[in-house]
Amino acid sequence: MNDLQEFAKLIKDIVTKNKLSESSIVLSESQDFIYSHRDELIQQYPDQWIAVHKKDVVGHRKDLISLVRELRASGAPLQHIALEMLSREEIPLALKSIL
Amino acid sequence: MPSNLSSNETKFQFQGFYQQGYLGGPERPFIRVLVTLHRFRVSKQVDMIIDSGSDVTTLQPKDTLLMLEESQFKQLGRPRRLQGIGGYVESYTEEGAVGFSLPDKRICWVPVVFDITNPKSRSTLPSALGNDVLQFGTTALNAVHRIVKIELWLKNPLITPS
Repeated sequence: MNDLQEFAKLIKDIVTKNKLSESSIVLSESQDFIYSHRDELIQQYPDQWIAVHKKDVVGHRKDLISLVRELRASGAPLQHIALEMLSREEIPLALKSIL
Repeated sequence: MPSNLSSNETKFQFQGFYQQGYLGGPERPFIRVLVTLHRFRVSKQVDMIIDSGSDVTTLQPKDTLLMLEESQFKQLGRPRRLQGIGGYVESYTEEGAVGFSLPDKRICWVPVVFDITNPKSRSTLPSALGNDVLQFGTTALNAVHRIVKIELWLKNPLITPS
């Protein structure tokens, strides 16, 4: 088996196990809802992380880790959920690595 | 999911989109991709900022938190320090693949090494698709006309149906 075939097998195993195709359809709906309602969501949840499943806000917190813990504990379908920081200020970008 | 290992195609074009990053701010270029992390056998769809001037390919902390359990971050090894505006973040590297959607709904997979930022070090760091992937092609960005286009030249790419 050559490298490309091994790569193909690996990708197939992972996306099948995770039902990636199906989850991506729902996740797109969730993410697109955030994009199309960003302004009103920022008014409701300023400077907070929100979790959206399809068209529903299923959680919101100032702290991302707390929000994800809450989602995991509730058994929410994480593969379908979009998270977004509704920041009112510019988010900094990483610039360079320091060894 | 049979793969089509066609060797006839070498040039692939992918479309992205512009989206506002924060209230009142300028729109930034994004692309919707599929991501796999091989060691953990996980995958997810991720919207990534295209930072063509950067040399880092970073997964958003928000998405890695949904893909990996907090305990799995301990298996990522020794972190590197990345300097950001206003502080430092810890970052890990992990092998995986990024899947770009082609106009005909097929997926073009490219193996990459991702930088994964520790979500505890800074929770708002956005992701970037840097030179790790873009060295294989060019990026065309036009904010006025909202055009986000990536062209990659790939030999023996892995192409799969969506």
